[in-house]
Amino acid sequence: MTGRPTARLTLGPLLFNWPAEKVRAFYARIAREAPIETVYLGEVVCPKRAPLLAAALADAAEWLLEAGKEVVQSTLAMVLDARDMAAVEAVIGSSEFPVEANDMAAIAALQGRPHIVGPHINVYNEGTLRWLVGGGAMRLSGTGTGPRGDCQACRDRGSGA
Amino acid sequence: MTRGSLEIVCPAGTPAALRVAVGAGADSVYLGFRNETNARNFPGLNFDYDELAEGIAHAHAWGVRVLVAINTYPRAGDVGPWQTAVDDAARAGADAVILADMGLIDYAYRAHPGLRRHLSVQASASSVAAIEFYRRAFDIKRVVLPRVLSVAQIAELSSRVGVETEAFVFGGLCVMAEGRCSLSSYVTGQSPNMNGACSPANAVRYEEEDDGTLVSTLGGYTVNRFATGEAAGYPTLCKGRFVARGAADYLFGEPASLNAMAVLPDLLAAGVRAVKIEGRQRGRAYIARVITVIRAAVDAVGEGMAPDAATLGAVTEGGRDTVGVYRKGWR
Repeated sequence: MTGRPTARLTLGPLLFNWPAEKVRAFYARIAREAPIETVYLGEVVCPKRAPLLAAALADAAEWLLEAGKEVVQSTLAMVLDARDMAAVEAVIGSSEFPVEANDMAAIAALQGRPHIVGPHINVYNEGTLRWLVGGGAMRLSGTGTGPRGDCQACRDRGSGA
Repeated sequence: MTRGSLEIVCPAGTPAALRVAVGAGADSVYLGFRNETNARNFPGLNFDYDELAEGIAHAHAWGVRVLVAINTYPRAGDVGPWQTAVDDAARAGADAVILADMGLIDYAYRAHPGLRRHLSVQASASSVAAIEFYRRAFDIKRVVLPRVLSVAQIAELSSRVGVETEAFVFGGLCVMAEGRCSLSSYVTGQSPNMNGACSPANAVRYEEEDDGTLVSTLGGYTVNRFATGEAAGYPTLCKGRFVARGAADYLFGEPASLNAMAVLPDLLAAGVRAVKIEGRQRGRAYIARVITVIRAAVDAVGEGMAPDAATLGAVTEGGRDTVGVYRKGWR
């Protein structure tokens, strides 16, 4: 090491409305070619299209693991009704990977077990961070709308994550 | 509530507007402090502590409740102003605080357990699981529902949560999910969630071109172009007109405001406890007119009658309105 910072690169979940074959091709290349350590996979935007991509994402997870990358399971950014909640619970119940919560409904379902707090959860300060860490949060993705110093202040005054 | 069975929650942007709202038939008014602790942090609006105390005295004398919105997200390392706002609301005798940030709700729960806590629309709690999480953790008494739910979804949700529900029925309409929208932040560098203003006035410009076209910009980006005589709206990015595939159109959402009068009976049947009017930035004449019409509509619905359709148009100012997603179907 020459003192250069060693930030890890993470790829967020795919938000575009792509057909399954394009999704497959994309993640095949990420697995083979990209200098990325962690990949978030899963449907975040629209629960109605999730079944169309399930097989492609399962293949993607396999390729990424084989390539030595960490995989995280993302979940829906907005839970509106019982059907959405069932989809989130099914993902949480079956995931072999750490789960990223993107709605307070998922945070609620993940209380007491290790999980990741995604960028669609509003965490702007140490009080909220402390509360989430107490419930099992081990990593946080910032919303990107706060001043730069906020991350440091959160880290200094919060705990853990 | 002595009249009707839905509580009408009315905006009070200023002490004068509070008096107008109380006189026009509000059951409750909501307001904020004159700083970045609330989501209508606009110049010339809101209350200092003494004005709040006077406003509460006036409202209570008329049997009207006062709800204090402290619904932005406290800055990391500087949560003091938000906690002070909660302390001041409690000390002044507010009937409830409307909060969005989990850390601040936790503070209010511990510091002022006797002060009712309402979950702000800015918390974006749109499901049974999310709302019940806040109830169990912080004993919230009411949730202000995000404007993303249909009446059928509200009915399902209301029957399964242990808190009151409050639904917006009139006024400005976010087409995005409240509390989770970064559009204004990206183009102005000021976060609605933290600074309390979407599309703040200091980032807005209107410029007239030689041919009479009026161009509205936000943070230096063109949001809309209006031909001579065309009504020009306020430039929020979500209601901008953008060119895609050669045609200019409202790609995110039409610049329409919410008018849910037509579904008031459905909201009541769905278990909604309170209906909310948006508009703390609005003038007294508008507030008086809107509240009067909605008071009559809510009273009619409370007596089992349909709201008077003829009066509904009177409050829309000739602009376009929409029942929003309350009557959403899958397309």
